[in-house]
Amino acid sequence: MATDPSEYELVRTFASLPRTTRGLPAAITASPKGDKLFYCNGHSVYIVDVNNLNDVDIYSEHPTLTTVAKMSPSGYYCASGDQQGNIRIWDTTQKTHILKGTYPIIAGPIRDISWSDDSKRIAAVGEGKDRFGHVFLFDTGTSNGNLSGQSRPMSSIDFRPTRPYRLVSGSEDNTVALFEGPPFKFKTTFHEHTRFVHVVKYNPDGSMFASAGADGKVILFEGSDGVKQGELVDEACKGAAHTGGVFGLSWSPCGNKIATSSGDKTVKIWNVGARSLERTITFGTAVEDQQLAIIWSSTALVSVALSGYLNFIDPELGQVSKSVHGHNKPITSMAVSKDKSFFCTADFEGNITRWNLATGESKRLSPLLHKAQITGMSITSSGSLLSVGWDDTLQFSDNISANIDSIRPASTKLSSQPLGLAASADGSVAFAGCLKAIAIFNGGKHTADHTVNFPVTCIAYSEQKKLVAVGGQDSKVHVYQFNNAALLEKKVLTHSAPIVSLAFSDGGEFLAATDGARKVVPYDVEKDFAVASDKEWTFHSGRVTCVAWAPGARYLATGSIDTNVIVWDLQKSGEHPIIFKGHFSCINQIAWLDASNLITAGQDSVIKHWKIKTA
Amino acid sequence: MLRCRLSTSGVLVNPDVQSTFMKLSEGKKEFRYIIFKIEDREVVVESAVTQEDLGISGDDYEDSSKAAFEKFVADLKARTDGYSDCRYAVFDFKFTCSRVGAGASKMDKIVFLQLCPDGASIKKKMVYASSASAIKASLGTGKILQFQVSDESEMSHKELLSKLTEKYADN
Repeated sequence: MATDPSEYELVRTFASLPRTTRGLPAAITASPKGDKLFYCNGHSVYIVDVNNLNDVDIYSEHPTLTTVAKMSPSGYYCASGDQQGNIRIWDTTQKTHILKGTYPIIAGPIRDISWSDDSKRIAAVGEGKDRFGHVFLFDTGTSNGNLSGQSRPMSSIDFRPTRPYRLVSGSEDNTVALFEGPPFKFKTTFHEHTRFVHVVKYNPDGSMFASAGADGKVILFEGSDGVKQGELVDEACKGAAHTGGVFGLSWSPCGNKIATSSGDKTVKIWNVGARSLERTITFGTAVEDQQLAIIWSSTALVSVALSGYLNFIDPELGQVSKSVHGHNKPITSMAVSKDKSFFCTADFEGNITRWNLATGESKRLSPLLHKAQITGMSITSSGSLLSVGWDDTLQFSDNISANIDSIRPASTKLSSQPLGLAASADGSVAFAGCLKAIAIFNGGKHTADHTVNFPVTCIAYSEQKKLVAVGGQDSKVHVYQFNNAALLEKKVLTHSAPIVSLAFSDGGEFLAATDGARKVVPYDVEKDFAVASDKEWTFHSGRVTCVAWAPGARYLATGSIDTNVIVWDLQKSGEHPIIFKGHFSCINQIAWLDASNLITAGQDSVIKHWKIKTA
Repeated sequence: MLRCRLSTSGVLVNPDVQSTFMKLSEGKKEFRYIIFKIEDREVVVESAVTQEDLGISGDDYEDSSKAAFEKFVADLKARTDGYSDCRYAVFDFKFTCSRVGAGASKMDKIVFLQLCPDGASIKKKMVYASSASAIKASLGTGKILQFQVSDESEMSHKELLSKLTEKYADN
């Protein structure tokens, strides 16, 4: 049923951020050439080009949450682990990502993966039940040793990159273990740390390895037999390297420096030879500023914060050169500015990010406007943002096209939970569709509440026709005439399932309604809301979650939980529409930029920009 | 959630525990049994005994390690001062069992014993019980059988052999 690929084209992808968990190291890795970053969120592995962050490849074959992905030193394969302890090895050179093999390793989440230098062996560790790690040959899955010897989950593993091979692992029993092989056998453990060991890493020539843990210490060991060679100590941190736990550690490509990232919200760059601190990069003071992972590739030094932000650091200047502020939680709301220069997306936790369409640059609005899920947003012609969220407020934030570091919104409490927002272009008239009433805002003031006797699900407003359409859980679309003060019921349109989304075309000529029974129905407003399509539009195979009219009121785009995007043509309403798979999960939001450019946002926290071949 | 499953007594496991165990379980199988104890908040090897040390001439498979096991139990009794202390031990159990369709076959299984006799002090029993998961995890429990024993009768050769044959007779 898929449409000819020439009818649509993916212009760019705004990738999700890595998933993070407080108190656990995050996983970010780089390709051997250093040009790609690998990280995980949801069921996917993201491969992002360091030099063009919108060049993104997504691998989504894992049946459960992914945890860590690592590319082989040869550059051909990637091994990715998941929450159920499986490892999938797949080809990275082609877009289809042919599966090489999948192996069950442990009965629990995989925490870290390491490839041997010859790309033949893989060691993986995590929170298993009967064992915490395994080392095997990548092409056959044959065991290549035994990684028992530590009594609690192992959180990090690394191969010595030169012969004779060694494996070092860090564990939650506070020890670092050394294994000799192949086949790998336990040699000894080192009790240098007093708390969980989060990360162990060999330097590029295998002459040393470093371990770091929750006690804030960074310890250096000799590479082949593990004699302790020293410690990295910051005088200001009472004999440790950081005042908080060290979650990430990465050697510089030259092997002379180490970068560490910590729960004390700093990244530190150390000179290994002199055992001295060179740079300290301090992030904010919020919990979200804890730095949970770091990777130093030949092209970039990138640290991952608890908020998921990717911070690109210039190691020479010791400064953050750029940050990526996307989302790592499902995107629930989206609004495009009237001049189409930027758009805002909001996630399940209430974070709002502003994206520049031309450059792809992203910036988070701060402080947090709603401390709960945002259900509706609208950007006015003057660049103000209207938003409603599950904290039961409507907020006006002025001029969000400029500096958004200290937003001071005007907040209005609503009488019940808002589920949708519709506003005029200049924002002077706004309607918040709440569970029990429609709150009417005139000139920024809450002027009236129109009580309804059905649970509201969504709302749309046509400024030209002064019509408000409200979708309900009662499977009806209620259309009201707005007389600048109150709403007067004009028409009721009945569907067979609860209404999910509504949209008026720009001039108000048409109203589109989608429902839970897979239907998309365009209504002709002028002809007393007669159905405007020749045939029934039932091409989606699940709930149709979002709908948008292109300028000109001819094309209509819909997104659904079936992961497909459909572009319908009202002038050829009996013909097969353009159908394509938009995301790897439910599509939550859709918007047109112009007559042929479309953006979609999904449950997978990804935003995609498409070019549709329209007439 | 997963974490509280494991030892929370703070007892560490000495690296020798794993390396000695490997000499029993892999390669030439140098040792027949190893006894571990907790000393200064650390699990250490108390003694590791080879086949030669036991001085048994007969075939282990024929008597299903009866002679070797008797010596092991006697050693354990002496070390715990007549069962007034706790220990962990691993024993390489060689035995013959008859299997349906396969006749009699020689088997070689490692058993892990957690000895907590009634005569030991409550504090000791607590420490050994709460640290058991730590030593078992570091030995790699996947391929060994575990038994908790509290008196001499449970440690009889017949008892263990019947448990092993029950487990391996029909698969």
